[in-house]
Amino acid sequence: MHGTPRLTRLLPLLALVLLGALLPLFVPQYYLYIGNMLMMYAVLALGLDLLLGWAGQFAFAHIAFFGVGAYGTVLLQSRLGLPFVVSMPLAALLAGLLGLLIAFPAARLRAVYLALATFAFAEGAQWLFNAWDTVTGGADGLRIKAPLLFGRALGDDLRAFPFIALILALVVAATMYLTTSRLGRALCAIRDSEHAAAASGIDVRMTKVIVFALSACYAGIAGGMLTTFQSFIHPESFGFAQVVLMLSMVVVGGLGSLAGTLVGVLALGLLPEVLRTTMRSLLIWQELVYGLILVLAMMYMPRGLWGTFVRGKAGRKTSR
Amino acid sequence: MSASLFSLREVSVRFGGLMALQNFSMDVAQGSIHALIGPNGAGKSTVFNCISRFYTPSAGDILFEGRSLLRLPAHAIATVGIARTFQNIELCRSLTVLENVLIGMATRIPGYFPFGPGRRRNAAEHAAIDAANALLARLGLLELRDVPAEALDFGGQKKLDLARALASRPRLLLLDEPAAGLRSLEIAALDALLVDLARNEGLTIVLVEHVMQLVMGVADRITVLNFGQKIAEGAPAEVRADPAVVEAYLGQDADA
Repeated sequence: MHGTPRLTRLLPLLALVLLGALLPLFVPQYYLYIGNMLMMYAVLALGLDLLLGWAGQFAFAHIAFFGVGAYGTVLLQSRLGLPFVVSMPLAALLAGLLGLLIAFPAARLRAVYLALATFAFAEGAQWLFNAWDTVTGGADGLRIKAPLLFGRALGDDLRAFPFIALILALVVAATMYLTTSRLGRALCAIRDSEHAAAASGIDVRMTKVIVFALSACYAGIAGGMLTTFQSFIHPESFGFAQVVLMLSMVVVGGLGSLAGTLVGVLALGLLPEVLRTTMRSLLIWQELVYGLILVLAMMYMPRGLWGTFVRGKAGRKTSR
Repeated sequence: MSASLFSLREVSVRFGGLMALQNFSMDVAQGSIHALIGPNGAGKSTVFNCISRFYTPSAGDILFEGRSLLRLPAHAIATVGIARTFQNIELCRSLTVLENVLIGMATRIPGYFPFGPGRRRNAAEHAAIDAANALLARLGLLELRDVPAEALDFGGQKKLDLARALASRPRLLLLDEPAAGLRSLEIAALDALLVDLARNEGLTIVLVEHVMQLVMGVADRITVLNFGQKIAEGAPAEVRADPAVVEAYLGQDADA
């Protein structure tokens, strides 16, 4: 796992970028919409997995940073007149900075206290999106002008698809790098035993702060992605239902595993489509179905789909 | 006797109304194996947790090479050259044996991100992996290096806990009941390893242990704790003959 990354590991990413460029030519718009959503959720879930799966920090503030990324990307363009290529990374950076700020108190909290404090933060952020209507448009939401990327307009599923695929490829590459670096190992050490980590010379607090900020940054990037294929954002997009969905994706796929998280995103992201076509009447119970899947996965598949069926056969091999 | 590398000076630890340690002093000579024994609840692990900076003493000082450890955060203790094992083995269960040893090398490969392209990116990492392989070979764990730590048997996990501690190349090693639960063949191997580390490599070892076979075999000096206070100190033969020690052990806690 550690050691020099083989170039072959980057091939799937190249394929993703190519697919992003080619698929819009012959795939119906609706499937491109699903593809965009899945790729955005993948970025969101990968960020959550860094915090939850790798570092073992049970924090719920992720959805708030998603909102900061989305509102930030739009507002930096409409209010400050910044171009999209600047506003999206800036909004992601802003989300990361906010993550850094809440990380300092959050790094002192454990287990259920951390969960409650970050949940309160997320609720507060949603309240702010709702109440600050002169800026966010309040409950009516915010209309998005199609962002311009080097003179070309994005703004719908067809045109945003190649861009979204490119961003996901970059984020997956970054995640591969981060998790195979010493940071990845430090995160696992903290998750499994803070005492052993500290006694081995790992700065537990600093490592937590770094992962909080990184994870928030991922959510901010996902928020920016959302604004490239939606024409509208509203506070409901950043509520509890989304938290349950993200959690389900990460837990069902397999905590602390990049491949597992992607599998979880595919499985739960496609579920509503499957329900829509086969069991229409079940669709209104979607939230309940997610909750049920989450509970069942935790009871019977604690290592997730990926961990249960793919890994587990043998340990990982370290080259050299 | 050579100069003391490490000393506790009148350390007291209070948990609410309970005095876990009371004016406890101890000097550990460079290159020696110093055992810290006493009945359950005597305060032995409390001493280790103070040295690791998980607890802060209410009074007293802890000196390593003349520097006070009390000014340092927990993660800096490994950096000054002190490593430890844990009574209830603390491993990163899902990581492989090798990865656990690499975690122990956190102080030797500083920084989080091995930047730079290709092979050179990982020069420090590769050197660390080579050193880890050598350490695992010494402890007989090399064949299991790609196995998750949780898949090891109890003896294997104990060894890995020790390997992780040794990985930082410490000058002071704190062992918290390394022989507990081991079979006598494994204890003999541990005995030989500790003696080799101290005599041939100059490592200083503080050993908390209930297994007297190990303590009497390897310790140069023994300190006995009871109810948070030192009741005896000296060479193994002296301590064994001390009436206060006999009473502490046989009077209340015969199983030790």
